[in-house]
Amino acid sequence: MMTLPILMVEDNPQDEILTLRSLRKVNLVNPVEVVRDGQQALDYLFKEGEFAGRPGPDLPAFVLLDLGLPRVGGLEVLARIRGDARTAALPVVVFTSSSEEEDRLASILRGANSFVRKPVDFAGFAEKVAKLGVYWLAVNEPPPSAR
Amino acid sequence: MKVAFRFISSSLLPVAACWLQRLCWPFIAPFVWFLFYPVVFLSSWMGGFAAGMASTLLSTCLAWWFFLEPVHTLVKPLAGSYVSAAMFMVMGFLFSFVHLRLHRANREKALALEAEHQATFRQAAVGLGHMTLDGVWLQVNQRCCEILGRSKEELLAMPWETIIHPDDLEPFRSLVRRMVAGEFSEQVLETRFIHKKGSTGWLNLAVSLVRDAEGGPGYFIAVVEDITNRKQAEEQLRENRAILDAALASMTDAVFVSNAAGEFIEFNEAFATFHRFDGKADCARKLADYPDIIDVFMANGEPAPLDMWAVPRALRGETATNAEYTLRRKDTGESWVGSYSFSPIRDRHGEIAGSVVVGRDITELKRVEDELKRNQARLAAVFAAIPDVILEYDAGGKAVMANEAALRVAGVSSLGFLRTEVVAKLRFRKFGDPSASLEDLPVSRALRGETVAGELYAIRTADGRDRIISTFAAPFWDGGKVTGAVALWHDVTDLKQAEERISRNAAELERRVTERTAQLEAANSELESFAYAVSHDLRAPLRAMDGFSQILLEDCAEALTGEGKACLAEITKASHRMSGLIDGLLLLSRATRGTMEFVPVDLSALSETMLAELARGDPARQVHWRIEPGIRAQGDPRMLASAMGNLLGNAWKYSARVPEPRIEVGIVLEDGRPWVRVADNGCGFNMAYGEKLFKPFQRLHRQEEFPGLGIGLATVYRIVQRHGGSLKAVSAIGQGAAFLMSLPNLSAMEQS
Repeated sequence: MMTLPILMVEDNPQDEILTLRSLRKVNLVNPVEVVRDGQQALDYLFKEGEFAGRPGPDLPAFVLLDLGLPRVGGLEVLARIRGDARTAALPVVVFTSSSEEEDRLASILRGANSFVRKPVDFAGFAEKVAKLGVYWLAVNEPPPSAR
Repeated sequence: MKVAFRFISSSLLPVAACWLQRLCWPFIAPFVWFLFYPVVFLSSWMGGFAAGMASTLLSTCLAWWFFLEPVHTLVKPLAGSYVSAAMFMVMGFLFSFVHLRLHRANREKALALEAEHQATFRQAAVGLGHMTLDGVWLQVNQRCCEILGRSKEELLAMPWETIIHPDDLEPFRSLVRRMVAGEFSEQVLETRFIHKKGSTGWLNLAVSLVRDAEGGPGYFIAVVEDITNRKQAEEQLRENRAILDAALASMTDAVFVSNAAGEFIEFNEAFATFHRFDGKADCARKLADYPDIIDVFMANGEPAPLDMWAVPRALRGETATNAEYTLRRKDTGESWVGSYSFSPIRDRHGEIAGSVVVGRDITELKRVEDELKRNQARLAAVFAAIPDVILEYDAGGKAVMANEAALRVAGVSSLGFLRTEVVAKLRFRKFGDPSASLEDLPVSRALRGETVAGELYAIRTADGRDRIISTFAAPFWDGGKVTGAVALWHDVTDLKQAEERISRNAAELERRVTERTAQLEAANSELESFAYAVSHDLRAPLRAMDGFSQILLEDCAEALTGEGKACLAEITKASHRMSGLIDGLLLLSRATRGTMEFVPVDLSALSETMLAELARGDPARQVHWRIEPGIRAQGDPRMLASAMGNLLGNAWKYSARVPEPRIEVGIVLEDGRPWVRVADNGCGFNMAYGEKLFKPFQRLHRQEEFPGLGIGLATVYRIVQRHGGSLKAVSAIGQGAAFLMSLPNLSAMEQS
């Protein structure tokens, strides 16, 4: 069985470092693919653009999606994922600094599987990332098409 | 017979005298003729000349034989005997002769009297008749025949009762019976009789009973007078009187008639009512005291002296119509106004015999009149004061009324000008359409029965100013016909100019509003994105600061000195503080963003839930709270929850250091409106810094005392403001704090 990667969509390099470090701390075997804007994320998922003909599995185990992204915004990315039959069942976790109710509601309505706020204090942040990884990779049963 | 008896008895008197003298001769002698002289006198008085002479001769013989010496002889020796006898006879003759003359004179006198009497009887102007006791005419005079319409023969042949009207017969008979019985000797009665022609007339019948020599009833003398005309006149008078009474009674005007002395002889029911008496009878009783009962005042209000009252004036010959007097009852004080007409009554010689006065209560009329006058004055004042032009035209279009404004605008000084003159003079033009026909000016249409309101015309006033007027016109109707019209011009020049300015400004204003709106919208959206940025982007660097500080501590712990670690700890603390500030900012921004809904919110239930929540979150503390039930307000549920949450949270927080913390939520009345009051018995604050209270990030306590951002009350303040309410605080250090919040439709209804 192939170990599916985690797709992290994050434009902030510091958050990227902190997230990766936190994931590493829990000793996950899954690789983490990082893209830095919405367009890249979509290209990766649909194997288009720079990711056309990329090797590896078609879809990641889950997507860790920031909302404030350059080029194509997070909510737009989410809408496109849910709008395409290939990615409709893909677990997407919105992971953002925003505490706005509108963002929370919009994310869930567009089909996000989970909405997690990035805490400012690092201890809390690390804990949340670790729990996310464990949950979505080990606890949660993935949708059938992801197999 | 009687005459013969008188003759014999009187002539035989000497025999009696002779006998008597013989009996008394001893006392009488020698007076031979002692008793014979009176006997002869008596005989001639009683029996007349012949009896006197007979008595004389007989006396002479008897005295010659029985008394002259020597007696019982025919021849006497003494010559004196012959002389005395001759003298006696001469005396007897003289007595008889004198009595003869006396008798004759008496008889002539009686005859003359009788003739006179008979003439009187016959020719009397009244009817006279003599009647027997059993009702037969003895005699009647001419006048009586004329009155009864029958001849003397006819009357004497019929019982006198037959002329009496059958209906009056019984009283008449009764009268006769009673007179005969001696109850009275004369009586006058009026009775009806039947004229020969069959008509009925009236008699005044004076009947006296003449008694005979013995005092028994003799016969009746009747004096008959025809009073038919008088009776008819009386009847007529009675009828007239009845008509007069009916007329007086039916009159609503008070009528009173006085005699020449000023005493009332006639008055009607209305007169009694007019003077506030209880009917005619009451009035009649009190009329004599009239001046004591009623005060009279002249029209000018001065008390009227007695001689100026209506009756005395009329009695002086004055005549007046509608003289005004004010009357006042002295007893009740009631006062009323009377209009009097009066005139004297003159007899046929032109002398004043009385007065007639007619009075009418015009109190109500006067009141109405005064009211009318006041109204007219009021109307005139309004017309004069009103700046609008008011004109009244008759059906022919001629001005019959114009107020001062009208005269000023039209530049005329008197009425009577024609409508068309005004139109021409003031250059009437339809406003906004100067070429329009003036055929149908408002007044023309009003005179045709239309009502016109608010039509605009341009005019040039008499003093040369161009004005715009709004015209109104309405017709006057009288019995379905238009009798005139009233026109009103309201000067709207200023209004029109203002309107123009406004419409010019409106476009400009519209443009500016659009511009400002766009600016505002831009600013709002900037604010939105700023808040979003704060929420989203400002946190990432903080996280980085905190994160990398931690990493440094974890990964390079051996390389760091104690001071270095302390520095890293400060960085972490600062980042956390910054994060808190950002949260606060967001909170504040959220409190005032978004649309509001207005629904009833139960603040009591909300408070209960929130305090229970606080108690659950802080189980170590024992806080007592009391919440007045049923406090309701109209507002946005989320915002009100946030406001109450902040106030209760503060109360909870700042009461932490007192031994028995209490929180109260209630409703109070202040400044004439209800407020929600959230009070605690906590540490309180100094009111001197009160003004800082509602500003963001302003705090009255140090962080070490009570941690906080200084954003809660600012949020409450904004929320209350957005609801159109007010927020105020009352506190003193160590004495707790109370926050009062007024909200729309705040009430404390008992919950059902």
